[in-house]
Amino acid sequence: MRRRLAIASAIAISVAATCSHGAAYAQSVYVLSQDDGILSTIDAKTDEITDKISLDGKPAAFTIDAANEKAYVTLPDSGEIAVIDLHRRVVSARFKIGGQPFGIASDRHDRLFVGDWGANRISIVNADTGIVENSLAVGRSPAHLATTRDGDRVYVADRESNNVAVIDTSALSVLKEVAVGRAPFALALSADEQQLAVANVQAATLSIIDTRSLSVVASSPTRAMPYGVAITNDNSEILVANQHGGSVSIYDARSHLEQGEIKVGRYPEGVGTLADGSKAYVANWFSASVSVLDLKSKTEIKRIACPEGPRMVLVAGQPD
Amino acid sequence: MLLRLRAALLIIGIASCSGATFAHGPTPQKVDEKITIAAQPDEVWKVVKDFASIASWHPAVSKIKVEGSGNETTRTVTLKSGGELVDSLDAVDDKAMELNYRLQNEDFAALPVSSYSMAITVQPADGGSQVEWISRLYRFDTGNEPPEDKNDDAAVKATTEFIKAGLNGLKTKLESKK
Repeated sequence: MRRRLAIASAIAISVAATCSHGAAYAQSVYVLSQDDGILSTIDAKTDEITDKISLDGKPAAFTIDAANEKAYVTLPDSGEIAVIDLHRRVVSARFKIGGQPFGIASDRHDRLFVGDWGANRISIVNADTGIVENSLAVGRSPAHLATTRDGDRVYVADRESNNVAVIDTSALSVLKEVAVGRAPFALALSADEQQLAVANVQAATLSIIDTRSLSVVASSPTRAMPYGVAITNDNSEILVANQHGGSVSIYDARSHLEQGEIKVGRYPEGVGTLADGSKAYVANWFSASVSVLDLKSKTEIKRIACPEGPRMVLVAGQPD
Repeated sequence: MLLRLRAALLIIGIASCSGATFAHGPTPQKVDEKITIAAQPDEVWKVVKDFASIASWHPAVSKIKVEGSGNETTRTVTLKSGGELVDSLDAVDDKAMELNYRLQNEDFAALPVSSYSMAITVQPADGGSQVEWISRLYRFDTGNEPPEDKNDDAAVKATTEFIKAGLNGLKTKLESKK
């Protein structure tokens, strides 16, 4: 029997339409800690860690395949992808694909798109067998990836090339390389899939790409070293984690102007929001904690201690 | 035929190597050092926030050149060992008493890192001040098989020593004023 997971996302995954009714779902927040090599699960009702899965390595990024109840985690140091069975809560497989796998996205058709940080390419990996079926050259140091719901497109932040590569996943070709600011690292696709928010670490800017014209339609200054970005499901707010200064800035998603700033832990990175937009979760890399933000009052309501080196947050919901 | 294949493999090898030198590598490392100084926080902060002052208190620094202003400020710090660190200023927060900057160059002779970002904060403590200097950094060789002098341990060790020496120098400068 297969339960369906619905996903709201931080970096790599966009929000499934089925999870917009927050009340009907018990949502889980997944936090990946690189130094301790652990995927922690936070219960979004109690805001406590309920479960920890050990990855045995230094995991950098992950994506969740909702329909199959699986998480796929990249381990750059060992050139692996670890497959986590989210139902049984165990590592069910390890794919040795080589290179330095970093950013990862699922096309929802049993294919994984995996960036190789050192080799400047995207590997297309069979999600069942772990076999690398194809590969596509992109810009230098592909960081995070984002994908559309039906998996027709994958966006790649090419950190050292200062652009975002747009991949047509059926043709397996790069449609366009959109120039953004210096050192794009994190991406967030809006729930309506019309805008892609890009955090440029070195430029300290937030670029907004219109996904129809594939051009940058807005660019806003941020605080120093923006390393994480998320868009609320109602497309009203964009959250940016600033490593320097240790805060999350909130931007109006239409005007792209900064509306407020919430202090969090030190060197915050990944950000995820609940489906109903009530709360956001921020991975504080240096502090080894997760800040829980109330998005209505714009305050930090809790700080949860977590394993060392948290860098990425994804939010998933499932029926009660 | 075989020869051609070898040449092709060689080119692939070179291409991926050069990619790795540009990249920042996958696993950031952490350094966190603190020191208490018998001086008032505002007095300490005045020294810390001055981006050019490092030459007057860090024992490993021989020379400094500061260019630009505001958020476009960079400094070239020449070390007594011969290496150079080019830092760009990110933020000076007077309210939080926090200075943020990051490395713009790679110089193995200065520090075995490919990049770092630094944050120095001043807080009141026991009638004096506590200065905390933290760093997020990446090893010099960000490939998967770094040699011993370019791996994570080497990067953390050298950066820790650099920060410790700086904090001690800062303490000496501020406490000898009295």
